Amino acid sequence: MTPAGLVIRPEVAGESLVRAALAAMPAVQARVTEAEARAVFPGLAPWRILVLDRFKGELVKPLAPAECSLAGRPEAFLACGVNCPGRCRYCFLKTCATVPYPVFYANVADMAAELDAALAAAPDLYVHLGHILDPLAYPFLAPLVGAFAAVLERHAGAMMELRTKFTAIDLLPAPPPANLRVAFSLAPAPMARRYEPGTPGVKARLRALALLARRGYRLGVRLDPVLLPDGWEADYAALCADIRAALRAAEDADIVLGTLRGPPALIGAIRADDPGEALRRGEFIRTRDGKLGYPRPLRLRALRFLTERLGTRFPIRTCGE
Amino acid sequence: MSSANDRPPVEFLPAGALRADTEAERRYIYTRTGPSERLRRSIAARGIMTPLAVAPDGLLLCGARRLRAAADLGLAEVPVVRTADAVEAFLAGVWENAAHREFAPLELAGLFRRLQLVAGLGPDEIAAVYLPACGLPSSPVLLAKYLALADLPEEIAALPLRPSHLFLAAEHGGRDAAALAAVFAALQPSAGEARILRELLADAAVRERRSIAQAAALPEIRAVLAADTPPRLKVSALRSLLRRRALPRLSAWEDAAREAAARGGLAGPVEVKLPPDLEGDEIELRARVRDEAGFARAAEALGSARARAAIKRILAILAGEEA
Repeated sequence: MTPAGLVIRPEVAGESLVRAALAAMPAVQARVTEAEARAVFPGLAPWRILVLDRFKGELVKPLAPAECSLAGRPEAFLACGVNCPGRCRYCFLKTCATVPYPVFYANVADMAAELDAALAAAPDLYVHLGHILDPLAYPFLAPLVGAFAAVLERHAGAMMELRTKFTAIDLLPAPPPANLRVAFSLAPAPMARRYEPGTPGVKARLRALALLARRGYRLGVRLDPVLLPDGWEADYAALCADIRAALRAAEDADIVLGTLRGPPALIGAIRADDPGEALRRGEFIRTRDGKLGYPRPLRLRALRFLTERLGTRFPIRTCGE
Repeated sequence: MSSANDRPPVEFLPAGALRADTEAERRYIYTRTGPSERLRRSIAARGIMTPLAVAPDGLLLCGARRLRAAADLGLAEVPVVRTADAVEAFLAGVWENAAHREFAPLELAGLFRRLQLVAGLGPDEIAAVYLPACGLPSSPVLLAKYLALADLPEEIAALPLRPSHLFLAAEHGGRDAAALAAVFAALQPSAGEARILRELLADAAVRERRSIAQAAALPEIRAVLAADTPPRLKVSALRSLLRRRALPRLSAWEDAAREAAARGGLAGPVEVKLPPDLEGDEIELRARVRDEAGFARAAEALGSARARAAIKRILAILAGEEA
């Protein structure tokens, strides 16, 4: 993905990641400025702008308990930026991101140092890279991913999960680091076409998953959020079959399932914004954690349906249930 | 800063000579309630002791309730001071009013909006200075809620609504807010009930690709609102109706579970209580027993094969095995 407008904050203009970005995108309009990004490129949609800013601390943030899926292991996410050029209609960042355009931090060495310190303090930490951004969205982000992977290599007990919908897998460090898991966020193709505009198609993601399996990476499949419109069974049955095929060569993979849920404001926004029927006509009730989610009988039925079709070869966990 | 000696002289003008036209009310006057009985009694006994503030052309800036009381009491003249600085007079009126009276929520909303429009104050200053002056916590979030009230359609002010109704309605725009306010005015729900009704109405509307106003205008909903029954029964009926529209599949599972209970003989001496919204994996069995014979009937009902089959079916529904 290439942005149409690049805003570089003066503090990071000399960073190697910025130089790499400019070298990788010689034709992109770039401005070094402190001005608000939308004012710099007033004609561009926010998702077509990219801001490279300075990281000011607090890279490693604990994951909310409701979003954790690993019992007994601390989980955190890396806040090395926010947003991505994808425009998923259900994205939780809709109602909580403070800016509407993608922002990535460019002072990689400072972030790597903080990650190193955090892992020294919590040696078994499981860190999510891709919780509030997509680390493979832009090709020039390879040094960022590489720097974090290099830190992980010094902390054998820690694990980093790189979660993505993008397919630029040649950006990943090679050979496969032992404590890096590459997880693809997947949805049935008809749903992805409608609800995940701006992201690679599901077939391309499955091809990337299969390729990484053959290259020996530790993998993950994330069906989160699972959308449950009328007739969801056929679409998810086909997807499960495709996932099993893509993981055929994988030696280590795990699967996380989570049905669509969120704060009332988010669910209200995504239903009102639904161009089709799947989200708008969904039934949502207040669950025990105060979020809105599908009724429990439907959630259980869907989770049972998916686990039966995904098989027992790889562990399956639920998230937010 | 001007001293007391610089103040303009007090004049006495006929009450009818003061202009309090619609434009003036929109710009300066935020009081919606009339003069209190205490104010009326005070003016009847001693006249108006604090002069009204008027612009040089006689436009009323401050003292709408005093003027109303004077007119009601038939006072020939009222004391006024003319001020060339309308904003200063307005702010003085705000502080004076805030010092001695309780504002209704819509009055506060009007006051805060006028602090923006007339005095040109920003939200930070209003939140920091004028919310505490009116006895409210200094909170930008709270200020935003009051400013949303100021945008409610005019006709809502005349409806019998509690503050919680107003704030809920104000979370929606124009016609939707007016429709919600009309529902709340007809049913007088508690704050919690109002919130649930609002959520269900919004859910049903979004499912059916309607606005809240369009959903509230559906004949079956209007029929509930117009029914000749006590408001609390209307609340219950509307909640049930909206829930079925918003959650048809969940309602169908609940119906199936209740039907299974009835077929299993668990709707008489023993009753099945389902978890709310089926959000749980346990059911509660309640036996109502008054004597030994009643206990025997309950035990018999519970021990029957059809009761066991019913409970198995209900638990399967809860587990999503029949979803």
